[in-house]
Amino acid sequence: MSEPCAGVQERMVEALLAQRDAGAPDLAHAESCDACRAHRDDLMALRAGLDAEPWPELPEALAERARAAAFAELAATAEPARAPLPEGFGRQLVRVLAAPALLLPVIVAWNAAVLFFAAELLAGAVPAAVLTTAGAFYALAAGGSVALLFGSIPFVAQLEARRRLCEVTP
Amino acid sequence: MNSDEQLMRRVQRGDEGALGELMERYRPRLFGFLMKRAPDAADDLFQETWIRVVRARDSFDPERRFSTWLFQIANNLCRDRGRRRRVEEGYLQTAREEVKSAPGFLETPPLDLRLDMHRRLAALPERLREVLVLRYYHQLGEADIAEIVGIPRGTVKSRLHSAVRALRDQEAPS
Repeated sequence: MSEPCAGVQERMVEALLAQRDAGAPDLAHAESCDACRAHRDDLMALRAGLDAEPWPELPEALAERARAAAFAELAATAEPARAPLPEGFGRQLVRVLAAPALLLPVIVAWNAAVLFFAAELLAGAVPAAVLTTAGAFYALAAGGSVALLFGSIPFVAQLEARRRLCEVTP
Repeated sequence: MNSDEQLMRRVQRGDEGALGELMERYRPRLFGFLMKRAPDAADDLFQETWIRVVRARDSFDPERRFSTWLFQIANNLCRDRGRRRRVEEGYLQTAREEVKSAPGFLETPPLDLRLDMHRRLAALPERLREVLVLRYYHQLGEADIAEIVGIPRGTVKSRLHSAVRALRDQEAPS
């Protein structure tokens, strides 16, 4: 098969697969080439055969059976719904969180004051580099402790809020 | 109208209505695909495909196209079934050969020597039939077919041409 014929025949197959007609230049070539004409005729017959294939409908009863099976599977594999939060949970949570929330600025201010006054007091006696390093360590340690302590508060608070609600709800 | 992917997100949250809508939307296409791939078990595979969709719903990535994912599941089921059948067919073939080799057995010629298109499609090797059905009957592009079947795009192209060639070769009356 010559090079142009190979290209023409490949494009004809592409056209068949895309369910469209081959390009005009390829069809013109096929008119003057026995091999490509035979190829075109074969593909046309093939397309007619493929198009004649029935496209059956799924009977309603079988569709219904499939739906029922899929719905049952969906229900069987669904995650159990989370229990709703008890009434008044939000109010209780705010009350429990109020004390630590008010305490936080006091703790921050206290540590800032400690750092400030310590720096004032030791400024003449201790070299500045040592003072800065010590201050940084203190700030890091205090900040880390506060973060750890206050980070756990929401978990404890929601437990405490639930406990208080259980005590008042019969 | 909700997109397939939006509906699938709702299915992921357990929405039965969304699942029903998707099933209805894909009913003709999916069943048509299965009829071409596995005509004798299309209704069972239709049901099995949707059960797999439900089971695997959490693994669906809404950034992907739902149709590609759905046909990937259906195609894998067809392949699994094809493998099982080949094993069963192997046993049957052995049995047939034993019967044929028995003394007094007469070979019966096939009644219909010329295969119609349905039989020609069924006679195609599975790897060729799956790409041909997806391309011709579903008009999917080579990239989508590659994703569904799990092969490189170039292989899709060569298999498509092989499928057409195989169908043409079968056409001549034997």
